[in-house]
Amino acid sequence: MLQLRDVRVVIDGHEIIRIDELDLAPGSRLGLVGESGSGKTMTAKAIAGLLPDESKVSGSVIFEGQDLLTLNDREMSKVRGKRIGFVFQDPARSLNPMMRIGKQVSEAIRIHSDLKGDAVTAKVIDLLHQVQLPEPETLLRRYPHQLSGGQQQRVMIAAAIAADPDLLIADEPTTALDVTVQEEILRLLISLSEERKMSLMFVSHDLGVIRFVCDRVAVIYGGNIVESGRIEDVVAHPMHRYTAALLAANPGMPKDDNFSAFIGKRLQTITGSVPAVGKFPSGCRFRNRCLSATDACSTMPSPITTGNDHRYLCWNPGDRGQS
Amino acid sequence: MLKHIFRSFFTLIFAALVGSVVVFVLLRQLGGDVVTAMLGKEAAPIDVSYLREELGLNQPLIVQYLNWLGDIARGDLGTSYAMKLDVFTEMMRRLGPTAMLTIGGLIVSVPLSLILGTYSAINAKKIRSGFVDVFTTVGIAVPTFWVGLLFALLFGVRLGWLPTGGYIPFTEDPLQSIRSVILPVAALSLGVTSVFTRYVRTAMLDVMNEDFMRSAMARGRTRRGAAIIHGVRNASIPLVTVAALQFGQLIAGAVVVENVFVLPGIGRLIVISTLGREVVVVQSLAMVLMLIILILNFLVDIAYGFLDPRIRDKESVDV
Amino acid sequence: MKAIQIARKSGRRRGFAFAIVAALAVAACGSSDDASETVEDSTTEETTAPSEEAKSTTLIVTLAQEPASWDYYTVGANALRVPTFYNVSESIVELRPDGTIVPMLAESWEMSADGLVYTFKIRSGVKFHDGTDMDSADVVYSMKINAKSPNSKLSAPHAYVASVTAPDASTVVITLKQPSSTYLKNLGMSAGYVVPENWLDSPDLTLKVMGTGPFVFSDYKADTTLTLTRFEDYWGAKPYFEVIDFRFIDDETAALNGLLAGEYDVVSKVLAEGIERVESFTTDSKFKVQFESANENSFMWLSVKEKAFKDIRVRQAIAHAINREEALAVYDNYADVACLLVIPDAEPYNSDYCPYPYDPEKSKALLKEAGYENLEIDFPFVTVASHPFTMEVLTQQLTAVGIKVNSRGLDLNTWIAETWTGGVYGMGEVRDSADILQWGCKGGRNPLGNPKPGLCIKEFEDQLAKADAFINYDEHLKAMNTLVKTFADLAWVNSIAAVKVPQIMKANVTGIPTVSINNAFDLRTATWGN
Repeated sequence: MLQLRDVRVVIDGHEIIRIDELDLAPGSRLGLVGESGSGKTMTAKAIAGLLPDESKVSGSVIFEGQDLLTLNDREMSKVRGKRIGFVFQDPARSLNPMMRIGKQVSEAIRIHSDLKGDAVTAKVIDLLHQVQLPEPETLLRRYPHQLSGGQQQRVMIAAAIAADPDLLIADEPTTALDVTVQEEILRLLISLSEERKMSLMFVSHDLGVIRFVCDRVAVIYGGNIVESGRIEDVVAHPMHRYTAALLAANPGMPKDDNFSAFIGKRLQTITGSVPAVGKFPSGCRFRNRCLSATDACSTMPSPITTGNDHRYLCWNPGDRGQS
Repeated sequence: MLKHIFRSFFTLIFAALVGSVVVFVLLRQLGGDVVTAMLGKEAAPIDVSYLREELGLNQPLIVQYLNWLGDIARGDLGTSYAMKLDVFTEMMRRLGPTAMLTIGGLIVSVPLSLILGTYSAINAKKIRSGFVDVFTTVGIAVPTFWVGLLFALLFGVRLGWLPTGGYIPFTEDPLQSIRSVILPVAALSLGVTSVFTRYVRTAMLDVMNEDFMRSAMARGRTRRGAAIIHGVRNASIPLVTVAALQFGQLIAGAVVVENVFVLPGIGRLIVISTLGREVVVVQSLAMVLMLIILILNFLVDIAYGFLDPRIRDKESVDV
Repeated sequence: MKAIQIARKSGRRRGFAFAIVAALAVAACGSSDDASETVEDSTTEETTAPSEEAKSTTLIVTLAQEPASWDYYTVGANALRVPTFYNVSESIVELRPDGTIVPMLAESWEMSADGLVYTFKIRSGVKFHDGTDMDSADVVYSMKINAKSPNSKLSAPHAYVASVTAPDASTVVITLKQPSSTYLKNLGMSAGYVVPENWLDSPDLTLKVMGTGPFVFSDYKADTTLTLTRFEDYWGAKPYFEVIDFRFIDDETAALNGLLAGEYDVVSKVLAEGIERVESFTTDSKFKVQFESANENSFMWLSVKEKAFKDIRVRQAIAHAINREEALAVYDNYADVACLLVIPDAEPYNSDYCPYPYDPEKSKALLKEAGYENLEIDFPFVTVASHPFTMEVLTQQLTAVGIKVNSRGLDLNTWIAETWTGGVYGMGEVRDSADILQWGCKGGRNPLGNPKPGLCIKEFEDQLAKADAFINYDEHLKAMNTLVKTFADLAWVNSIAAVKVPQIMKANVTGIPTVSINNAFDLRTATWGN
């Protein structure tokens, strides 16, 4: 349902995103994982058409047969909220502090449907139920600051799914929340996705969280999708050295399926740090931090696809034991 | 909330008192007094100190100040020395033009600034916002009196559309009254609108970067829709403070405009009374204007609560 | 040629704002011809039909200044007398512009042979505006209070009065201690004000002017309008206009704009930044410009307290440094050179005598001789009307002979307090209407009479005492002629110019006198012409 092809994002002359191919099937849940600065949020914004004015985007983002990159702000606004919903990282800042909850949840309904008055209210109450918030009738008259962080994120989710989108893009939706609340929110997203047959693109730096939520994963580094595939394949047999490093940095992975067992064991540092924008090396973007880099890595590797659509970009692929 | 109001109220009274002392002392630094002003060059070589005695000008300054303050506390703004006019009556008589100017100025400049500032913020990186920048730069740079003169000459003398000056009370002839203040209000609003537009633009640009604006767009708002529905109200919080300060600017501008267009308002009364050394009139008027501006700021403090639910809740917890 | 250059220079400064406006207005029209055409159109529109206007019985007149109050007894400003003297207030006798004295509230009078006793026959059937009849008691009351007024215009001429009595309801007898050739003339001005008995105790004293004149002071809105209405019980010939609508407009640009736009009929005085627009009205057939002999001289004087000025050579040096021709540029040449302090300048004892003509070389030589080559003078000036421009011209001229002038601008009342009536300063400049007789040291006029002790020069004082006491008119004139020359020789006060004040009105306004007595803007004979 969502296909990214040759997507390039250039800001101030620097190529921030270069994604040759990324697919999301209907009803599936795709995790987009990478460290900060790897380009995962930019990718989500590129899909939503919410990149800053000064960025240049090329390629195509085909959503249900329509290339979103060809749409202007007004046309794109008919896609956002209605067909693609968004949940962002910091719910406290993502809600308008001066607007009542009900008004914010109903915003997409009022924009995208003909419902009016009580029908809107009824739908909002139903949505608040769906996201498992208590006393929706009173809640909708409250202001964001009167809610806890978890409640705020549930409100954000309710607002994002209000117009029944086919795809929900969640950008680090639990990062700002504490551990127990995180699990609740993640389970809510999973169940909503299943009940509504809604695709989910889940953006996170935490492979553990993605493993918990998603069926597929795409690993992003330096704006490139370096590896993608079914989550169990990637976790069991990471082919790209970066994926391997990510896994190695998270020792709780992948044996235990219990959320609380690996949550909170944050990604440990990989040697070196993510370079600043424009400071990535040519060829394989990871080669200056890669312990297995060879001369060949100075040219961009071609994608290799193995069984189960496990795809990666690496000259010296190997599983985590070799890293 | 109550504690907050009390604290603001005492600050207000204290500020008014300090202000009144400053005005009192400054006025006494001017050369000459009302007797000089009345007799002019024609003062006879006889002893005219009896006039000062009659008017109470020979009393020690502290006594004069306390007498005046006592009158103010009783709600008596005093009378002018020369004409023996009741200051309150005279002030009310002159309220018309000044009120029409300042309120007219607000009615024109606030919505216009909101529109121009928001437009400029939404299109911040496009050329068309440059037109707004040019307008505001010109509006800030040109002096109000000059704009007034230009308007009077163009629309009054050359085109003959509107009167070049003078004031007709609203109660006498509403239409002519409004006609008589159109040019002054336009001249007055230009500068204020320009300054305020810049504040609106800055406030809107700040708000446009907020995450909730992105959320609104993610729900299907266009950039402009999000700016108007979510941006303006959030931007209004810093703007209310500025608007209260701008009101002081409007009053100051009214003094200039009243002189250019010969409108018998409070601004002119202050100027004329200062030149004529009618110190009681000036003190009382300054006190009243100070109180108006201070009360306005006080109301703005309270208005925050109504505008921003976060502050409203915080204050109710305070008490 | 030099004078013109200076006129341009000072003009540029004073009219800076206006110049830009005018330039833009002209630019906006494309050409100046076009501009005048459009103005014509709007004027016609405004006044609809000239015939209709001709029938109007209201005259709208702008006034540049407004008095602090209408208390005629205290307020010294011209602003009080401009709209009310003759129009509202009347005096015992009337001083005509040609200098003759004719009956007013006194039908006739006699002077005793020794010049000490004046017997006035008071006109009967004269009513005050409050409806009461005027009789000799009112006149006696008025003369007695006038003599005690803190306003020297009222009190100074009564200095030699011994008694004022009323033998009957229509007779008033005034006895002087010594003869005064100018006493009767002064009764035709402020000293002759007649008000109803006990007017000083009226609560209305400060709010209106009460008199017997052809117009009633009927409504006053501070800073807005003064309305005079025709007094139907007036004893004399009734004026044409039923209503005089005075508008207080201190901004000359605004007043002239309003006149152009047809909102006003007459702009009563052009004193400051409007001067340079006067010429454009003289060439416009829709308007009439006349020059009121203001009975005011512009003069500069030297502080009696400054040590340097006690040396006559220094004073002479300063007098020689003044180029009066050049200074006329301040008034756009609507003024005459006047070396003598003769007010009004039409007085028969005036002459061309000019003891210290412009001579910068002589000035420098005198300064050198006196040992004041590095003289510094503190020069406070008033920041309104023509004074800043006069200051500029005088400063330039004095600087040219090596005198350092430190000018400082003050508002009128600060200036009066710090210069006219006392204070430490070097020199001053003013426009004043007091005649020479008021400049004596005993009870003398500011600024030389004050601060006490004033300046007493025996030669001048002797002449002064004599000049007024001559009963014989010709002898009086001769004495006055000598007196003003002596005063000029002393060089404490250097008269510069006799100023004319442009009055601009719609072309069909007639009957406004061009000589102003006691500053009055006399509208008794005003009417529509054609």
